[in-house]
Amino acid sequence: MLAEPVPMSEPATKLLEIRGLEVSTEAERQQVKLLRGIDLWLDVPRLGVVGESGSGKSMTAAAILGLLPPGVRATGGSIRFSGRELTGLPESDLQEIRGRQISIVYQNAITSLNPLISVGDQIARVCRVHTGVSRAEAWRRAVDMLASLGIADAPHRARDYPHQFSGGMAQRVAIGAALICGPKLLIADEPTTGLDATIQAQVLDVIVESVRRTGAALLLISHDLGVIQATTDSVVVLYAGLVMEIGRTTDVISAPLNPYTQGLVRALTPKEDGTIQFIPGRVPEPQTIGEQCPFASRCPLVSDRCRREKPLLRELRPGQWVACHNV
Amino acid sequence: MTQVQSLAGPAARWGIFVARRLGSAAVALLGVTVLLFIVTHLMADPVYLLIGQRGSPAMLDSLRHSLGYDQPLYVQYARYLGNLLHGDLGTSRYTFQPVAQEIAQRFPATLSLSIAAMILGLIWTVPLGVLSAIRPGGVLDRISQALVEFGVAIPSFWLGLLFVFFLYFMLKVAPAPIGQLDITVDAPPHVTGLIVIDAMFAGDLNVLGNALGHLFLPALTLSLTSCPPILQLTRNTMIQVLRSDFIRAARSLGLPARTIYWRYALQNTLLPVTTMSAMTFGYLLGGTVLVETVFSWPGIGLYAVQSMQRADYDPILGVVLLAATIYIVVYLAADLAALFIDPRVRDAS
Amino acid sequence: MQADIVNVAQLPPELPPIQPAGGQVAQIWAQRRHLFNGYWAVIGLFVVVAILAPILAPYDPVRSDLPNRLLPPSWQHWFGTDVYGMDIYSRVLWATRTDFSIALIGVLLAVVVGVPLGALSGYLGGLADDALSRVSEMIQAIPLFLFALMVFAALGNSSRVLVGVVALVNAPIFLKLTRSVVLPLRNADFIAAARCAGLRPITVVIKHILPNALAPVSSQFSISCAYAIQITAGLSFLGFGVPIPYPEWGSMIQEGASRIIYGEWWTSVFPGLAVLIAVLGFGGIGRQVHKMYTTS
Repeated sequence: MLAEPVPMSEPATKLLEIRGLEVSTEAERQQVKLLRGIDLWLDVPRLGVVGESGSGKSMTAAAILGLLPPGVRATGGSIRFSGRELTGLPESDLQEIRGRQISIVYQNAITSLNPLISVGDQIARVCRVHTGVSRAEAWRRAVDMLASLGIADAPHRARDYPHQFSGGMAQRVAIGAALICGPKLLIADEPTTGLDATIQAQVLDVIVESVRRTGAALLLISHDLGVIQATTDSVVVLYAGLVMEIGRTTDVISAPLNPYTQGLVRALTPKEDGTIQFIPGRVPEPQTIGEQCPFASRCPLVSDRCRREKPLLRELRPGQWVACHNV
Repeated sequence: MTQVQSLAGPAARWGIFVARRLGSAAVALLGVTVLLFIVTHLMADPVYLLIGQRGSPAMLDSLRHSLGYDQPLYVQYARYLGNLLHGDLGTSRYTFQPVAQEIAQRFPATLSLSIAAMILGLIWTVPLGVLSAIRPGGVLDRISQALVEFGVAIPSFWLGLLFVFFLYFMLKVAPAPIGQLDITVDAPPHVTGLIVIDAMFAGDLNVLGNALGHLFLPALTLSLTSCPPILQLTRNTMIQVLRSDFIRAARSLGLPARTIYWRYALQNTLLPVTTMSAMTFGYLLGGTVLVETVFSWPGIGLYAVQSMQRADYDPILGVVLLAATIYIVVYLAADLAALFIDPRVRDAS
Repeated sequence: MQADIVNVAQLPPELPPIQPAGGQVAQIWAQRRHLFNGYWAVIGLFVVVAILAPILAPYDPVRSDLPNRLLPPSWQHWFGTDVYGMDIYSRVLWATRTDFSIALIGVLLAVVVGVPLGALSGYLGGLADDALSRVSEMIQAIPLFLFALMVFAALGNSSRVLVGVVALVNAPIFLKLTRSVVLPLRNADFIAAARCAGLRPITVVIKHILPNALAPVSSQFSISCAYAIQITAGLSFLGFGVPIPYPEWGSMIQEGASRIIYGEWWTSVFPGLAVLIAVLGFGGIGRQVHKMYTTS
C-alpha cells in the first residue's frame, strides 16, 4: 500500500514551515491559547498530524488556510508556504491560495458538498474560479478527475447529486474538487473517520494514489495512529496545542521518545487479556494550561520544571525531535 | 445504477404522497364548508330577513317550507354543498346579484393588490435578510430586527393612514386613496380584470401610470405588515446555512464571497423561504380587509365589510369560502413544489 | 405478583421534583434580572393608566363638545379633539381599559379552552387528537378578519362577541402549544412510573406534565395579548365590537380616518401610537419570558 517515499534532498525552502504558531480565543475577557507554539515542517511527501480531539489538529489546518472560526485569531508565530508568509495575508490573497495551492478535504464528505448542485458542477466551478477555463473544458476536466478517482461511469455520475453517493464515493468527489487545480499541498482532516473499515482503506488508497499522481504533498490529520502508520512518512504528535514529537513515522511508532507518544503507542496494542492501556487522566481545558507542559497532569515522568516551563523541541536523535524536559 | 433503477417504484410513491396531500386538503375544505353551514344556521333567520315583520307566522312558516328550511340538517347541508359545487354562493340581499358574480368582479382588485404586495415584499425582505445574515449583530442586522419587530406590531390600517397623511396630504406625491384609479380615468378594456395588466395590454401608459400610482401605497402598507416573517426566516435560515459544512468546504476551496453568499448559500435558503412566501401570499389574499377599507380598494375584503355593514350575509360566507380555499390550495401547492425543488426530498419520498 | 414487586423496586427513587411556583419566580428574578426591561415598564405603565384612567383623564371621555371639535394638540388638549369635540388624550387613556380588558379576557379564555384541550389531545392521541388537530387547522386556515366578520354575522355585533372572537382565534394556538409539550412526554419513563404507582391519568397530567407547559404558555400568553390588541383595534376600526362613542383605540382611528386627507392627523395618530406601543410591549415581554426559560 505504501510506496517508498520519494527521496528528497534537503530543500532550502520547505513547502510548509510553521514556527511558534499561537492561536487564541477570548473567553470571559481572557485570552485563551488554543495553539501554544506549534512548530512543524513538511520535508517529506506525506506528513501526518496525530492527536486526541482538542489537541489542535484541525485548528492548525484552519490556521494554515486562514479560516479560523470567528473569535479565534492567530496571535503569534509564522506559517510559511513555499517561503511565503501566510499569517496576516489579506483575504483576497488567501482566496487565490485556497483550492489552487493548498486544498483541504474534511471528515464528512457528503455534508461538505452543496446538496443542490451536481458533483460535476461543483468540481468544475472550483476549476473555473481558479483557472478561468471555459465551462465545457472545466466539465471535461471534472469528469476526468472523477474517473481517475475510481468513480465508474463518470460522465453520468458527474450529473448526480451528493446524496446519491455513499460516504466513500462522496469523499472521492471531495478529493476531486480539492485536487482539480493541482495544488501543491492537500490537507486531509480526518478523511476516513466514520467510514467502514474496508471503505477507510479504499479512501486512504485513493488519497495516497492521487497525491502521488498529481505531485502534491499530503498533510494527513487523524486521531488514529493506525491510519497514520499506514499512510505517512513522517508524523507530528500534538497534545493540547503543543507539538510533543516529530519524526519519521516508523521511528516514532517503534521507538517513541516523548512520554505522551509512548502512551499513545502503548494504547495501540492491547495487552494479552485484551484490555487497552489508556493514558490515565483527561485532556485539560485550554484555559487551565498556563506556561507549562500541557501533559504535566498525566505524565509519568513529570517534575517541577514541567509545571513551570513549556518544553521546546530538541533533536534527540537524527530526524526525531522531542519536546520534553526529562528525556 | 441509480439512473437505471426502474422508475415505477418512485413514481408510485410520489403518487401516494400527492394523493395523501390532496386528500388532506379536501378534508380541510370540507370542514370549512361544514363550519360555514353551521354559521349560516346561527345567523339571523333568512326567512325573517326576507319578509321581516310584515309577515304573519303562518306566512313565515309556509315560506320556510317552500324554501326547504324545515328539512333535516343533513339534507340542507347536502343541498348547500351541492350549490357550492355548482358555483352558487348565494345571492346578495342588497343588490340581488349572485354572490359568485360579485366576488368574481372584485377578486382581480384584491389579486392585483396581493401580487404587488408580494413583489414589493420580496424585494425588501430577501436581500435584507441575506445581508443581515452575512454580518449577524451588525448595523444592518439590527435594522432588520427592528423592522421585523415594528412591522408585525404596527396596525396595518394605521400605517396606511400615516402613509396617506405624509405622502398624499403633506408631500402631495401620492394619489388620493380612492380606489384603483382616479375618477377621471377610465379602466382599460377588460382582458384579465387586473387593471395594471390590462393597461399594459392596451398599451395605455397614462392609465398604467395612474393605476400603478394608486396601487403603490396600499401594496406597500400590506407588504410592510405581512412580509416581515419572510425577512426573519431568510435571515435565520441564511445564518444556519452559512455555518454548514459545505459552505466551510466551499470557502476552503477558494470560492469567492460573492459565489458563496449569493449562489451557494442563497440557493439553500430558498426552499424554506419560497414555502413561506407562498403561504404569505395565500394569507395575503384573504388578509386585505383592513387595507382595502383604508384605501377604498374595491376588492373582496371591502366587499365583505360593506356587506356586513348592510347586514347582507351571503357575500361574507362566499368570501370566506374563497379565501379559505385559496389558502388551502396555496399551502398544498407549496408543499408539493417543495418536492420538486429539493432533489433530496424528491428522492427520499 | 412476584414480578410486579421486582418492577416496582426498579423504579426511579423519586419523580423529578416540581418546584413550587414561588420558588421558581424568585430564582428567575435572581438569574435573569436583566431581561426585565423597557417592555415590562411599558406594559406596566399601560396597566397603571388603565386602572387610574378616571383620575388621570382631564376630561370626560364621552362628553361631546361640538364648538371645540377638531382642535389640534395644544396645552388644553394635549392630543387635540376629535370630530365630536371629545378630548383625545382622555379617550386614549380610557380606551386603555377597553382594549386591555378585552385582550386579557379573550386570551385568558383562549388559555382556559386551548390548554386543557391540547393536553387532552396530546395525552390521548389517536382519533381525538386527529379530530382536534384538524378542527384547529381549519380555524387557522380561514383568514383572521374574514373569520371574525363571519362570527359577528352569526352571533351579532357586541363586545362580548369580540372577546369571543379573540378567544376563538387564539385557542388553537394554545391547543397546539400544549399538545406539543404533552405529546413527547406521554411515553416518558417518569410518567410510566407515576402510572405504575397508581396515580390516575388526570392527576398525572395535571401535576407532572402540565407544569412543563407553564413556561411556553406564559410566553405565548403575552404574545397572544399583543395579537389580541391588534385584533380588537382592527375589528373596532371596521365598526365591530365596541360601539361608538365608547373609547377604544381602533374605533378612534376609524373616526379620524376620514379627516386624514384634510390634514387633521391627531385624531388617528395618537390612538394608533397607543396600539403600536402596547403591541410592541406585549410582544417584547413574550420574547423575554421565552428567553428566560430557554437559555440556561
